[in-house]
Amino acid sequence: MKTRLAALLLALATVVVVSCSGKPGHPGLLVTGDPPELYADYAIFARRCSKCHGLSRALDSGFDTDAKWIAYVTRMRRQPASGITETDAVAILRYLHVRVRRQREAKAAEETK
Amino acid sequence: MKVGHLVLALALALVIAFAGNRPAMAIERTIAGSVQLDYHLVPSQRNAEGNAITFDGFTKEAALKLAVDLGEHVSANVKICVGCHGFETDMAYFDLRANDELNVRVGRFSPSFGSFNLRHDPGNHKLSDKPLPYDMGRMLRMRDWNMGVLPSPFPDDGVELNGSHWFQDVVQIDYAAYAVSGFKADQSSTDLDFVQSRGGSAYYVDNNTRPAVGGRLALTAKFTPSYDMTLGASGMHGTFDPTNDLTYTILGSDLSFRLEHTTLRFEYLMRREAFDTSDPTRFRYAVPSSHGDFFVKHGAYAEIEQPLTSALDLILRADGMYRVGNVLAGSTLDAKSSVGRLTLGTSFAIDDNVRLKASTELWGFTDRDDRGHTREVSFHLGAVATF
Repeated sequence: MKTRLAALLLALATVVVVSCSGKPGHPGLLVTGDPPELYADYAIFARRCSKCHGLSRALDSGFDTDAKWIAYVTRMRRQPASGITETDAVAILRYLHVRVRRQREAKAAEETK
Repeated sequence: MKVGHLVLALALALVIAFAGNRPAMAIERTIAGSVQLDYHLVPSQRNAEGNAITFDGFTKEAALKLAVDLGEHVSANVKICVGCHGFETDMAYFDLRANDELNVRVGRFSPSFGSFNLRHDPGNHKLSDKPLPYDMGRMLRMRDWNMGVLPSPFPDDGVELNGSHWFQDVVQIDYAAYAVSGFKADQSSTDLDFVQSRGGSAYYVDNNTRPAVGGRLALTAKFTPSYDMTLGASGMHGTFDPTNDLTYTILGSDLSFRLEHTTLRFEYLMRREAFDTSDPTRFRYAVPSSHGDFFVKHGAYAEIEQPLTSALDLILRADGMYRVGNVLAGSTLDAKSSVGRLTLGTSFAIDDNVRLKASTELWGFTDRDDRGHTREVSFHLGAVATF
């Protein structure tokens, strides 16, 4: 009886925590500061890549060249039921290219300080 | 002879494809991994002295994967896992790819079956536990049930042909066909021996000369940019004993929807497995003269995953298994036994790469344990990091 009560309390606590957690957003990471023209590409990236893993798995991979991203995105596109078309891959790579460029620029600005 | 012709035609097709335009490409290496620590609390699984009588406490799963793209057409993957089973080689294979539609995978890998196995890494699924049909040891009464229908992952040595084709950027068709060593067990065993099948204690050598074969076909349709569906069917068949007398057949079907940010998944698996009845005294029930030498184990789950914020997901899962068939005299199962489970869980991202997982599981069994219980409760609290 005690265990059932504990289970019920934990389930209720879960629901309360969940209910107080704000409004729904994108699954995975929200990237702020991206230029508005990238939003559509980001949406495709977020939609397709979150099907199998969190977005941070890609964004924090440390890849800093287009060649690495092309190899990586191609491998993911070929995963069964990936849902990633070649058109999607172009949009995803476009987003990642700009993101890497911005990271590189930020790092250079940091180093010149 | 026909098989020989098919292999020859395939080899020629690959040679022609690889001999085509091959732009220079640098070798790219990717290292990735995950670590999960989970605490499983099963307060109802205690004896009169208060000591745990089931598998509960801390468990960890760690994996490290190296992927190497050697060029446009060749890549290799090696993945090592550490878990309750010790060190295991989850992947050690290379891919020879002609194009999107034709890839040959050679080495050690989990053959294509079902949809969950693609997400079996704890960094890629939101609950601490796998669905019961794919359970590999965390389920209650694990030894009575000998785990799930197809404990995931299920790495094996062999070769697989697979590929994918898009129609108008709307429909994706995936296929896979493979031959692998297959599951293993001793001649007198009444169920698959997953430790012998997976582990290196027998030096990863097949216990019989006949490969197991199987395949998968899946269709993914994108109805709108935010609504897609995948429907799949899988099957494998082989023998598991040293003399190739005892067969197993595993069939599965899966259906998943992604509607905006909500994901719905359904999956069903069944395994029909023969056992040796030459000594009928081993069994609890009389062995009929026909159709008494096998059992069938069914398993299914339905799951909904709902992001509530950018950092918090809510997961609700219902899963279960149903076994029909004779049992050994000492088994705690009956001729017809079932287990059901309801899970409510959350997954909270405390950092880009770190998530906390918390869940409550309510269990129901048709068979009473030695204390007369048919219901159990368990809790998971875990943390997983990916890199």
